[in-house]
Amino acid sequence: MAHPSQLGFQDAASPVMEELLHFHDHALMIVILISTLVLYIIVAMVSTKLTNKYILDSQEIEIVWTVLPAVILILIALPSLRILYLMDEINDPHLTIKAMGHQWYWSYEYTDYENLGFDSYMIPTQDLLPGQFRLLETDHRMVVPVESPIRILVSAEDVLHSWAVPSMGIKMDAVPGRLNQTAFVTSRPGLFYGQCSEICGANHSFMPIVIEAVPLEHFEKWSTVMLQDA
Amino acid sequence: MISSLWSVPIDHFLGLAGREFYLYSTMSLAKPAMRGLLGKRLRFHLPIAFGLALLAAGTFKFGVTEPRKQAYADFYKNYDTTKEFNSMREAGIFESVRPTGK
Repeated sequence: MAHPSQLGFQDAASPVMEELLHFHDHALMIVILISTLVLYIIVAMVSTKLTNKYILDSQEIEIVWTVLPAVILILIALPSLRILYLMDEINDPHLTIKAMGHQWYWSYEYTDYENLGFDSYMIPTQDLLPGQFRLLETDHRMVVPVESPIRILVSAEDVLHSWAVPSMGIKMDAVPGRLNQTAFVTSRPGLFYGQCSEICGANHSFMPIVIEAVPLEHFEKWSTVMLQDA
Repeated sequence: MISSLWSVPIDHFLGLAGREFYLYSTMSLAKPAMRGLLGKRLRFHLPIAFGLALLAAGTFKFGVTEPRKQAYADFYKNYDTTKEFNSMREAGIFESVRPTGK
């Protein structure tokens, strides 16, 4: 989750998010380069009365300021396209989970082997235990096995929602009548928080997402207990 | 015939008897540059602009980008998933597994 006064991304919890972080650094480096150049030129131009009103053609500089931006754009586009295709790769997921958006909670269905399904409501602020995070905790978390590719199918039962977990670099719109697919791998165990990312009514800000990544044997025990309780 | 004011003996004005001084037009300042001033300014400032821009980009790359890549590589190089999971479990943060109390 984010910490107070945070400006940058959350720490990456999946390989895709790590790649996105590094690409963002690359793009920001180019932005800093261009901004420094332009700012210096602006200051140099406004701090003089010298002008040249009689420039015509000037083919050389026209070539320079056409080719240079094209090169910069290529330097941005190549890593961008690489990550775009990387994010589309789905390598034999071990598990498929359906995340359904409702007003105003998420429900998760694990239907690969048995029919396991449960709702995930936000814990109200007055019911939080010490150490829990306000507006982020849920009564039932989406438990997944760590370091396993997971396919997640996102949809909605009523209005538009969006299933987002920033630390994994995931955001997928939940559209009624449509099944959107994404995949992720958690690099480490722990808790990863997200929030609904498409305006969906009065309690849009109060339907968070919590992913609990645990080793496979503990995931299997958890799913057995959940099935028994259902 | 006086052709130029500059060749008039100066003692004509100053009353110095027996001495003559002549002021000539060759004693003058160099003509200042009247053209190409903007170009000269651009030739001075543009390399500095590009240099500063590259310096800023290089500073960001080696001050932020590369350390971040290295930090992630170092974090995962010796990362023990089981050990970390157990310490989180004993801290009681998980709902699917309870602490063992060890």
